[in-house]
Amino acid sequence: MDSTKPLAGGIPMVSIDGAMIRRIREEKGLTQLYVATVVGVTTDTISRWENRRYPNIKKENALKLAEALEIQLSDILDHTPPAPTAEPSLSSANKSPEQENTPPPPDDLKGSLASESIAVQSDRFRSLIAKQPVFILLGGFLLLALAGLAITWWYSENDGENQVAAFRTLPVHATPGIAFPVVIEVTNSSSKSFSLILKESLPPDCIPAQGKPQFVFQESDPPVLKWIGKITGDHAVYSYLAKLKPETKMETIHQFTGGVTVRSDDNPSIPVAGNDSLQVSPFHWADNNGDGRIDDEELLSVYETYGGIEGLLFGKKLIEEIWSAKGYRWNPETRSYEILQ
Amino acid sequence: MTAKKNHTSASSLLFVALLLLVSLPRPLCAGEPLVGGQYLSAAGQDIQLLVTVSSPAPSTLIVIQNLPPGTVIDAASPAFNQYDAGKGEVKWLLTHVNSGRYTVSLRLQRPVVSGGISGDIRYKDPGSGRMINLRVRP
Repeated sequence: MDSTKPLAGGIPMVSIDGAMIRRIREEKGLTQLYVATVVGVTTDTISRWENRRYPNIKKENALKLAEALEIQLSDILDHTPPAPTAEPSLSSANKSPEQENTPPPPDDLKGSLASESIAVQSDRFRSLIAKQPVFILLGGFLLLALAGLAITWWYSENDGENQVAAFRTLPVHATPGIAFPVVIEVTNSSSKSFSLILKESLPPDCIPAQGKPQFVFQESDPPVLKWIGKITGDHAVYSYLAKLKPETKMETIHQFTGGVTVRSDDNPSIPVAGNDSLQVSPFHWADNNGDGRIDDEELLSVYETYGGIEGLLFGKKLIEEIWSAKGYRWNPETRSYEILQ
Repeated sequence: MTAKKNHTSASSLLFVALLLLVSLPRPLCAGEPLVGGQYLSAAGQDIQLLVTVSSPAPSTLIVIQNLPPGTVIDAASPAFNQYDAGKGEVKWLLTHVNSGRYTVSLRLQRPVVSGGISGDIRYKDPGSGRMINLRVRP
């Protein structure tokens, strides 16, 4: 009996006896790796051949396999009567050994009818595309919109820890004994609400004065302020006033650090971004460029940043007095600013 | 003929869909003025400047009225925060601003001629944080 069957592409195929191949290989003490290397396929392919997952293989590969096993080709061919097979519709010339032979459909007629049906449907589809490109465009838009909705839903359903961020607004400098404001804005880009703990460590030379909302003060070294709250919208604002101790040396720099913990302490703290250092200076904290006056832009910045925080006593009166005047200067004797009219 | 009709109706459908897509409501674009100024009276003894604020409103405005140097002011409403008589520059600081209309008025000792004055409105753009200076002329 001839086990050779040509494929549509003209490549001769043979039916192999996987159990026989395994037995011979094992009798000769050959590994699947060795056989695979000689044939030029992977060990998975050898395994599939032995387990009859690919009962039909290229004759060329079968010859190499016989050579690797040091036997004749006929010794590994399957001599049982083959089941009727349908002509494959695609050439297997470019297929890999893994793809080269899948079991054919059991019924020739069914196979050819199915192929015809698919071909007819395909022709109808092509004709529809040619006649109605607008429907294809609309379908594309619809698919894109659905994909966008799916992505949005996926992001909104994911944990919110990565969607919470905190940003500190701190003046670049401040004068010892003069209260300056600090604002920490926590933003929530998800639609969920979270319980949070905000911790802010102040420099050792800094004394907290007022909190909006009120903080819990931990008198430690460094001093720590804590807020326990809930973020229900897209952001929450935590603010406080602090003063540098009167004896703090001019020109020294002091560091602030903070973090937000969401839901539970199991989650890592999200660090507070933004400005974290403050220089001790004879210039008022609102005089951002340190030119000895508060100009229009500096005044507007102060009001935009701190003016909306109800009840935060950041020294509006003094700032407006300096803005209205020609300038100011720090008097170290009186430890106050002199307004220059 | 039928195929042509189908094509026409489908194209119209697509056009309507695209039109709906681009005409969806969207927030106020950056760069559109939030604040406007207009003189109600720009000559004589009474000067009146109308300031209009749209949403989202900046929280604070500085309104500046430039007068001829040395002008004497008899009255102001509301009271101004700064007046540099040498420069003829009057400044108001308006805080807790909401969207709406605000009028600043001055009663001068002597009348001024039309074209002899100008105004400036300064504010921080709530979106960009940039300071905007809006020049107002009669």
